[in-house]
Amino acid sequence: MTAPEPAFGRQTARNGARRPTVPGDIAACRDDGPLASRIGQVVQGQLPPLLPAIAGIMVTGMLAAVGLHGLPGPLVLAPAVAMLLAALGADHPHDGRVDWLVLPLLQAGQYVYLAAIAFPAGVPGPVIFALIGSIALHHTDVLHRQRRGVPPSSQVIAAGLGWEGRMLVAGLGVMLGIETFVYIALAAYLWVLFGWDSLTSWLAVRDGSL
Amino acid sequence: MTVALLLAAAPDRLSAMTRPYRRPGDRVAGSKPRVDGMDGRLVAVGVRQIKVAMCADAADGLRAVAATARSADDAVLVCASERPQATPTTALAMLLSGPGTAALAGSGTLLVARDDLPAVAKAADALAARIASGQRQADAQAHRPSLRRMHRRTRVASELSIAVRSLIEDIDGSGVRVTSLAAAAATPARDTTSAASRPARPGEGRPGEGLLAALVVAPLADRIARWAAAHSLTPNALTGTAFALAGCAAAWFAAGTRSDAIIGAVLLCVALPLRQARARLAEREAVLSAPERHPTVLSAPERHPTAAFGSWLESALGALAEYGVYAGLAAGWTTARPRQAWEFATAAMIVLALRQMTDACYGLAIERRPAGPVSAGHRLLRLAGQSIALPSAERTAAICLTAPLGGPRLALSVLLGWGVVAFGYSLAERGVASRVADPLGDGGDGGERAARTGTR
Repeated sequence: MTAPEPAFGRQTARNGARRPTVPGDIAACRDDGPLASRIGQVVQGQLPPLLPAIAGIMVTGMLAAVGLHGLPGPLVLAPAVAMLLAALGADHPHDGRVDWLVLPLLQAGQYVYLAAIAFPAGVPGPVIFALIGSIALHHTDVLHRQRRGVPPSSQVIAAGLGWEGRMLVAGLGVMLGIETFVYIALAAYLWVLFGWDSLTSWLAVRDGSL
Repeated sequence: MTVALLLAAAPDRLSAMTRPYRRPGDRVAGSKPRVDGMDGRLVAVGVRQIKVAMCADAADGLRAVAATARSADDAVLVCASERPQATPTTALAMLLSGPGTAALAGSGTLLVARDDLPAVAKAADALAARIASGQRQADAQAHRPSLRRMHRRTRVASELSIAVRSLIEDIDGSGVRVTSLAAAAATPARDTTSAASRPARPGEGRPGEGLLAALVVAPLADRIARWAAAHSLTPNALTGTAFALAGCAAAWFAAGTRSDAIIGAVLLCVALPLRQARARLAEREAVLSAPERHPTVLSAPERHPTAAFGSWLESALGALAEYGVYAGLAAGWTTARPRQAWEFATAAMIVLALRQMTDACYGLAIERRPAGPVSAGHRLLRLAGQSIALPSAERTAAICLTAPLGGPRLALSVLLGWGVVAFGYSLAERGVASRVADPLGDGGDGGERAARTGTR
């Protein structure tokens, strides 16, 4: 009998051993993409996750408040890169007293960035709404699946790009001036990917095969 | 109006004959039947009249059941237990929420539906006659091997409980459909799943529900749930109907005129009790499908595949419908710059998503913490506090009032503004709770954590 494959590839404990995902595991719902996972592995969970996340979202929030429109090309990516600070806590087990705040902070940074660079750049409102809506629904789904103990597969996590991947792709789109196209493509891609994965997984749960 | 009949053991035969019925709180020297703790709980679950039958033996109790069943004009709750803690309040609430005759297995509690009253009266009389003539003596003896030396009241109480259980068996065998609920299953201390899955007493409000949900929507939802149960509707059917109604509401909001907004508001108002009724129906199904010998299975309905799927479907379609309504409001905002409308809608959605995420994460985090004390205070104050956190019913009410009166701009502004306030309130509440709670990993089942979690 083979051991079950850890659902999240980045799940490495402080001592370097792979930590299986258990129901109720907040760290498993972070929605880290491949890049954040690798950054997190560098510090091997030695860094508490809350402070880097607060630092990242403060930079993002301040830049969004100042206005991201009209910034010269690469500076649009600055908040996304600053948010990568939060990836340093990716490997931490999130067992601190207030570590449950990390996930909302990560999401807040992601949503604020996606909206703040797109509205001034002229991306149609419904497209931005659809993109953020797909991510919000995905997070709702991940939490339900975590409670049930059937988290998404590592392939789907990687294909979903993670919070940092989506921010970087959107930022690159705005930087290159193809923001509308990137937002439409990203929204459509995520709706299909998350919708299909969620539906098939839950139907399998209902039928008892998961 | 449900009548509750408590079968209490009289201290002696004379007092049972001179004062066969009483009410909780009556002062009778030397005959306190230890039922005074029950009245408040019975009223809390919806019983409007309580009778205490003072019984000298089991046949006495059954005759009292027959007499009450003949004189009552609505459902009768027969409770043989003298000890109030023997029947959990949540189990009583579950029993009373059903449409037909039902019994709590093992606790000697029976709810007789109005239509079954004559049949039960007949069966109770027949059983009383059999017991009085000694036919059931052997059964009764089997249950009290060493009771001879026990106090008379304790012995009679035990006989009464056995008599009601025999009555349940008899009426079940005589063609009356008796739904058997597992009593232990509804005990809140065993509930280790999400806050929403815990049954609540009528009028108490569920965790995370505010004033509107507890006082206005809950009675409607209870009726719908009973109607749906009687018509064999599944919780998922209610979820689908509520989603379709909310989708139609979003389409009408998108049209942008005042009359369309009124239609949208009405549709949204109809969808709200359906969603609550779905939760009640799912709870009931979880209780009915639970094996009595394994109540812990029941206490975790989300572990059951169908229940887990239903819970996810409700959550996903509920969120989708709500985002759809926000989008509809933005699309119907024709008097402003289109971009501003979508900015407001997106911001309102982000705040809602973050609030839900915060609640869910906090719920996950404290799942492994020991149970904290249930928040004290007056019920209305507690509900009002939960209303500040803008739960589902309040959000719907805000949309339904502001969209027709002030247009989508006002609706989205209120959702955004109140959402931000609610977010701050929740964070402060959670922050305080985090500071006083023990760190993670200390064990504990978190049975009462619902009071602090609040699923919105």
